[in-house]
Amino acid sequence: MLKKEQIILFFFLLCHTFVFCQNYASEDFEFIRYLIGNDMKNEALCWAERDFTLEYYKDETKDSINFLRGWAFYSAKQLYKAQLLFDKVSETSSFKPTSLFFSSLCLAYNNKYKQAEINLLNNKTLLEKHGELYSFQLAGYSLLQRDFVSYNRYKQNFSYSSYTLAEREKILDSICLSLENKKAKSPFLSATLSAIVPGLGKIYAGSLGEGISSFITVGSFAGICAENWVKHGLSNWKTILFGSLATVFYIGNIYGSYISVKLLANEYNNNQNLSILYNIHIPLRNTFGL
Amino acid sequence: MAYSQNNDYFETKLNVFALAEEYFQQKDYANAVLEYERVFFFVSEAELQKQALKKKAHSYKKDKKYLLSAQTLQRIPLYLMTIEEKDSIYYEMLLCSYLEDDFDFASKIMNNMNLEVKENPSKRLLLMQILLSNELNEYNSAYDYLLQYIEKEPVLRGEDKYVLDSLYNNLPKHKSENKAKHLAFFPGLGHIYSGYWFEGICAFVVNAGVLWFGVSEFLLKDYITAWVGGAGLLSSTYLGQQKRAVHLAKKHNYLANKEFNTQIKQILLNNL
Repeated sequence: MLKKEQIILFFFLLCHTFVFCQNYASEDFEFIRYLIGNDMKNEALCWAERDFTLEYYKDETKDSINFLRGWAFYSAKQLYKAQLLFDKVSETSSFKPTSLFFSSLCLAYNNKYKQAEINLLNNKTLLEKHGELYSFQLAGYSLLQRDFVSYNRYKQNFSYSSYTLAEREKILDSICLSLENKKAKSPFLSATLSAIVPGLGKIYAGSLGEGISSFITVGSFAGICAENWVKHGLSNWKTILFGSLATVFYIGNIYGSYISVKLLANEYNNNQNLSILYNIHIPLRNTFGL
Repeated sequence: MAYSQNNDYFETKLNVFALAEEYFQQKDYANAVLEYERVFFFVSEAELQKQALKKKAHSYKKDKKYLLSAQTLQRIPLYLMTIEEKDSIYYEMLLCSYLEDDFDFASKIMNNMNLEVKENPSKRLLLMQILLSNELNEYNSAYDYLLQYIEKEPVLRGEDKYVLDSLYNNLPKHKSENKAKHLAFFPGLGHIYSGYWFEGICAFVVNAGVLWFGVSEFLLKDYITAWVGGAGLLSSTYLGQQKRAVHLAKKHNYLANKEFNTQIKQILLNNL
């Protein structure tokens, strides 16, 4: 008899916990939306970092929680954790397409552009219903990889008339055009130019101000050195001091010109990538209302 | 405790406020903040929402996040509150701004203060207003608040009142940044005006040395050396010492204010 009561009590507690868990998750959904929407990201993060024991939850609820946690981490720019949680959302969940898009975006923000593209391509059947948005995202990831052929292929699905996408599609096109027309500059040529005329390599690299400044600095020291050499000889302290300074600045300027080509190219590429990421992120947020 | 009808789940299954209180007792302030916000979100009763925000602000304060605490208090609607309650909210907001060293935020709160509270502030609110007005260099306002404070604090009517009066009659003497810059036309003089004699003499010696180098090179007919080594270097040291003179004037004013404010603070806090 006692055993029977224990079994009934056990089932009662199990059902109680189960119902409690489902309610808790559905209530949380609106609450977490409210927190993120009102810029209370620390609070959302505090919720997301809690230890969730998901065994009592229904699959649907588990998916909601994983999606919400992913979203909270995404809002706090903790992209690695966000991606892991988005990936945990099951295939059957209504959150799956959104999770896939955001999981890919997290990968892209972590410079894993190829993986981001593959992530979307592997789930083609699930995402194709989003038609133009799907192509737009793939086009963005192709552009991040500087794969202009793929970009132009995906671009064929751009309608330039969708309310959420039209403006972004035009921006992506202009970024693509700018990237295609950008001519790569040679660090060796830059260094050689600076060896011939101090500062010229930096002007070639695209830093006019730095080039002029280098020319004046090296030229001034060289001028003083030359004057003292002519008037007072090679062993004069001013000839040695300013000659040494001129040499150091001259060599430094050649090295600086070599580096600055690479730095400026990196800076340009990074800025373009950030711009692409921003422009593919906005339609996602608008489409899924996050 | 009345929760909205849509959220009867909380009414029967979970007392969120109690959970928040539990986190607070355990000094887990991050979770307490989250749960107090949850109470605010789910309940519809204004009184309970107010309590939740107050407790949330208190949790932030305990967690040393003073600005967030003040910002949370700002969300509390002041209508239908007693004057004492309003006073208490303003006091907490000003205290948090003071602890955060965010005097601009404090200034905004003081300027937009409820009229009722402004006309009849409590002793502790006046104390905060004195300290904050001093920090904002608004000494006339600070003295007005001090006079109101003394009316409510009889202990201060003796010798301390005399000391406070004399302090406000001898306000910190500020150095003009413009004057420092103009005096630095003669290298080092701006530094000396700001009270930094040694730096002033050093600035003079360095600039005179560079000038001497330039002139002597010119006389030796080493024109390029004179122009680049003398004039070029002198332009850097000369303009640099001008900027430094302005910075020193600012530093002098900051330190003078700090010393003045510390003296006032000590007297007021000793009498609490």
